[in-house]
Amino acid sequence: MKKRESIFDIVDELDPRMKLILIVVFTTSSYLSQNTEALLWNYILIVGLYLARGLWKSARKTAILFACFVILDFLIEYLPWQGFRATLDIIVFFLQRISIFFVMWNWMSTRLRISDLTTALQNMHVPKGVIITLAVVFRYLPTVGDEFRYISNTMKLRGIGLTFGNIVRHPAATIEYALVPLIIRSMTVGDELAASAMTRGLDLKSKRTSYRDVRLRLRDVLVTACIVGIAAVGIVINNPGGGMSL
Amino acid sequence: MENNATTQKNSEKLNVRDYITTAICFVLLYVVFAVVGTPVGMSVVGNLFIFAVCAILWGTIYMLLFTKVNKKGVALLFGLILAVLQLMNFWAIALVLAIGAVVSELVWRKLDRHKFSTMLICFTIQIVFWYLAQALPLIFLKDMYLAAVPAYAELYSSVYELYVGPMFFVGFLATVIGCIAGGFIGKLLLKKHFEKAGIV
Repeated sequence: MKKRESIFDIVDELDPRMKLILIVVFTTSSYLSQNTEALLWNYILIVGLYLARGLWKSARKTAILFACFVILDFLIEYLPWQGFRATLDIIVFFLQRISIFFVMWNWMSTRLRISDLTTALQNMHVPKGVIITLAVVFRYLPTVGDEFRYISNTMKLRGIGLTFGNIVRHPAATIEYALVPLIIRSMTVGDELAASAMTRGLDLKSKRTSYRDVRLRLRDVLVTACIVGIAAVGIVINNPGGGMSL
Repeated sequence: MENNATTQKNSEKLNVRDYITTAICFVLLYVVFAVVGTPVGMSVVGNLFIFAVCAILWGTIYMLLFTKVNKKGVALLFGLILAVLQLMNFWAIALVLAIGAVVSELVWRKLDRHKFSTMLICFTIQIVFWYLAQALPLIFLKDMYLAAVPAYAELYSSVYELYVGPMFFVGFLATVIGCIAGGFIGKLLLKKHFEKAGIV
């Protein structure tokens, strides 16, 4: 007997194309959010998406990040210095919105089967070059932070850490010490990825087959439509004037 | 003879390794934009100089990409991925970026792409078009732009005031200078580090 799938499985196994759509939707809705209430709606939904996939640890981290933004937003109002308040306000304003893209990207790339993504895009007849490039971007973007952390630690050990003082005193040298190892390391990772891709036959001209059944199901469309609908409702209710202008 | 021609033709086409290098460079470009460009763009005046500042660092990434993947189509692919990503922002930005990608690809094909000057021109075109992608829709489609990104409406209204004045040309010039500086720094770093490391 076929085991009945829970909501956790459905969201976790959502078609990669639908996950891509959700990234676009939440990034766009952050641009459409004119106030904290509208943003809060997005935040709750995003944390909900993490929870729905059973990504408890990431959900907690994301919730803490969003909570920090909301608390900061609230505290800024009480700052006595108007100039400083305005500067801080705009910084928090930007971070609140830009972070959504990275948070959603992390949501999609966690436990993402790159082969599913490539098969899904191949089924949409997207050119091979674009598929491979996008797949590598998804694979590498979450890793680049770790790579940079290793480099930063090594720099600290050698007394040329990425500190504010070093950046001010020796900007060119500090940037060179940080950027060059990052690029060299990234190129090495690129070579390893290329070797792996060629071993899997990604450079073959024939159509790639998949062991897993990757196709757009009705439930994928319905779940995505439902999430998009809830996000849209939040924007409509919370934005002044009660509507979106597109 | 025919076999040689086919091999040469195949080596001129982008392969899996090239796509992966392009993707890695794209991630690096985006990381630099997030780490350096975002703080710069948090002020109204800073918005004019985001690309000028970032281009100084991007120069190394672009020079490496153009040296390592010295083939037809790389400028177009890189620019189009950038355009696709900007679709999340405002469609007109993506459109201007796509035009920039096509223009840089035409230059890439027309001139000798093994020359540093061609690489520098293509890099400058892509970044200048990114600057224009931010400025032109705001100038010509102001209301539509502000309606598409209401959260930033107040900031972009102030930026608009700068764009319609002489500051637009100051920002433009700064972007070009940033690209040239970035290109030469990239060339220097390529020679100093990457050739030694056997990467190019």
